[in-house]
Amino acid sequence: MERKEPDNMEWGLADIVGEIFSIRESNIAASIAVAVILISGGLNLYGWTQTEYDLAKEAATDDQWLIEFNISVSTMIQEETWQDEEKKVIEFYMDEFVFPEGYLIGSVKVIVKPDSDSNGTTLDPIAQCDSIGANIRNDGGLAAQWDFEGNILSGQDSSCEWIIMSLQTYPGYDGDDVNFSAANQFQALLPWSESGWGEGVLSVEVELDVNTVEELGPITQDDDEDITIEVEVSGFIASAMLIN
Amino acid sequence: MADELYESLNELLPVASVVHIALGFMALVLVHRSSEREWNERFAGLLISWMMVMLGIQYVFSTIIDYRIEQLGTDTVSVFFTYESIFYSWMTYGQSALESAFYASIAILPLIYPYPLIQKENVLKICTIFVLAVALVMIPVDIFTEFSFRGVKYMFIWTGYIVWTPVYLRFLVGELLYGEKEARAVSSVTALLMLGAFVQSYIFWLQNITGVSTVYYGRWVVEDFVAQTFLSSSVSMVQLALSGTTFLVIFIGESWRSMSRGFNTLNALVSLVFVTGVLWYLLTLVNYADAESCVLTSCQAWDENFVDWYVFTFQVARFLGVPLIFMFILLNYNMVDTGAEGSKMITRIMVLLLLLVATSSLIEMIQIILPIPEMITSALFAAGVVVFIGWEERIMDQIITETSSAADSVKELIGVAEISINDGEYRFFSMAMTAMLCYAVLIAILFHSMGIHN
Repeated sequence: MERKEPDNMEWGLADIVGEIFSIRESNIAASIAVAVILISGGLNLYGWTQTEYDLAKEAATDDQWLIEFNISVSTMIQEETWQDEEKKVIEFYMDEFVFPEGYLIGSVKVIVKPDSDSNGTTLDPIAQCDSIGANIRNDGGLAAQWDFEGNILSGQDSSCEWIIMSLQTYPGYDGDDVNFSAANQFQALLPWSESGWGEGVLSVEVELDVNTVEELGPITQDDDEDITIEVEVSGFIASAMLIN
Repeated sequence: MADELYESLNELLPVASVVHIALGFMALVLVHRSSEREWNERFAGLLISWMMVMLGIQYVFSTIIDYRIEQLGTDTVSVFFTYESIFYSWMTYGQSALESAFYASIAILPLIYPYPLIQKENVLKICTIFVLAVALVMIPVDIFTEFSFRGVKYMFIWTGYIVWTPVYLRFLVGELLYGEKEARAVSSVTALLMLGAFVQSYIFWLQNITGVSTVYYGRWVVEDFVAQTFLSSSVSMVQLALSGTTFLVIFIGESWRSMSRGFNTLNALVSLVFVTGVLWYLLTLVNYADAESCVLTSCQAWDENFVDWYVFTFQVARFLGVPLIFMFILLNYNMVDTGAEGSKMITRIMVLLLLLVATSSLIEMIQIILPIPEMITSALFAAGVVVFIGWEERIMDQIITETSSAADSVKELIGVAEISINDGEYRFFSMAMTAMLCYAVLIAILFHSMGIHN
């Protein structure tokens, strides 16, 4: 604790450092601080090196997962009669399609079926197929992937064939299993667990244009058509299987 | 929402870069004019000035990076269209290179000030060679390793924890138990130096000491573009303990002093950091699920208010607190000759710049949380300017007349070797620092242009 005169000092590093530790009380305080550092640092280091780093590293490392879809299809059929040149919009409430608990709506398939008798029968052999045009309307009522290029949102037919349309509701869903790179099972399934898609009202617009041979056919009053609209909704639940 | 959060996160960066560079260069001028000061005061002043300049240039790179990131996904900047292209570019290389230069410089500050551990005639030469050698190696190695050894790089600032803590205790105890009045200048400047160098980690003191902070390190391993290595992150665990404990030492020391000698501004500052640390600890516990979500499930976004709290504390401490503390040390602890005729004007500009930037930045920060109309904030700012202009004379008088010299106190209490260093050596050190900055920037540009990543 005595001040050294510059002339008398030997300026070795030990002397210089020794001056810092020349007071007993401050040395005790410094020793306590070092003890706290050792305990706190040791605990931090132990926890980090033994468990936390490995957990974090594992979470940061991607694995390959096979995403499999368990699919359930719910169908609703509506049959109505269209008059010649009549255009009608048929609405299907999506909550009326029944799925098991936890299933999400992946896609919608709409089949417009003309009356099977349209293309001539024994009673009316020269009857002609009617022209039918159908659209899945994007009127904002259904949460779906309206911009998906694989959608078939409209169709028309005059040869008594079925008009088949489809709409992807869940992003990226096409019903096929997919490979996915993710750190863990939770993250692998995360893209396939968004609720809300496919909710709302599906509107199908159908227009009829009757083709008839008025003078030659035995039945000349062919000015309407029975049309069946079948809607198949695919629901899915995803499961992830580790590939490697 | 995400964009708004991002904007508020980096609100202070451009201001901080300008402030650091301006203050650094003004302080350099002042230090070079202060030939009457003790060698270690003058050298410490020189180091702090260069550190400010380095931080300023580093923040310039950070500002450019932020601008590029904001432009990602737009056509405005066509060259950098992915985060990867920004990460492996001259911008990140430059930011990291300047950070390395800063660590190489700050490593020697505790060895010379306030109590000089190196008391040799050739101290400046030794320090210059050390800084240059460390920077020459660290800058390219950091880039080669894709910045994955940051924890190891940060070990250079451990000299501050290791040297300043016992120095602080020695002079604090000397003052309070042994009646060494002059010791106060040394213990207070040491506490301020530690706050200046580490305040951005001191605000996390409680979660650092209890180990709660490790949850963030876990998240960064998952989130970071290139994660820190096992060695680097493990070294950081020790640094957490160092940071938390050394702050606790300062807090207990200053509390003890305030009970014996009364409350002062330093007590207020330390108490503020203490409370901030406790709040950070509690808020980390509240947001713990979000913090560990990356490791357990998938990364969840931070709560908006938590981000605001981060901006208010960490960003303000780092971008405003650090220059304010270092400039206060420069001006108040006799490192520069503020009384000289030519220096007065520069000192006056520095003080006003600091006060005005601090006011405007804080008002800007408040606007993040409270949607106050700009008319009101402009009026507040104008009021602040008026008050500071009125106070400026008083502040200046206080700085010029009421300074205390830690170097004189050390000389008086312990005694140090009489060392005379000629002006040429200081100039040589400044030239070496300039060369190091050029080297850092050149390395960043050349490595990028040569496609070192590929």
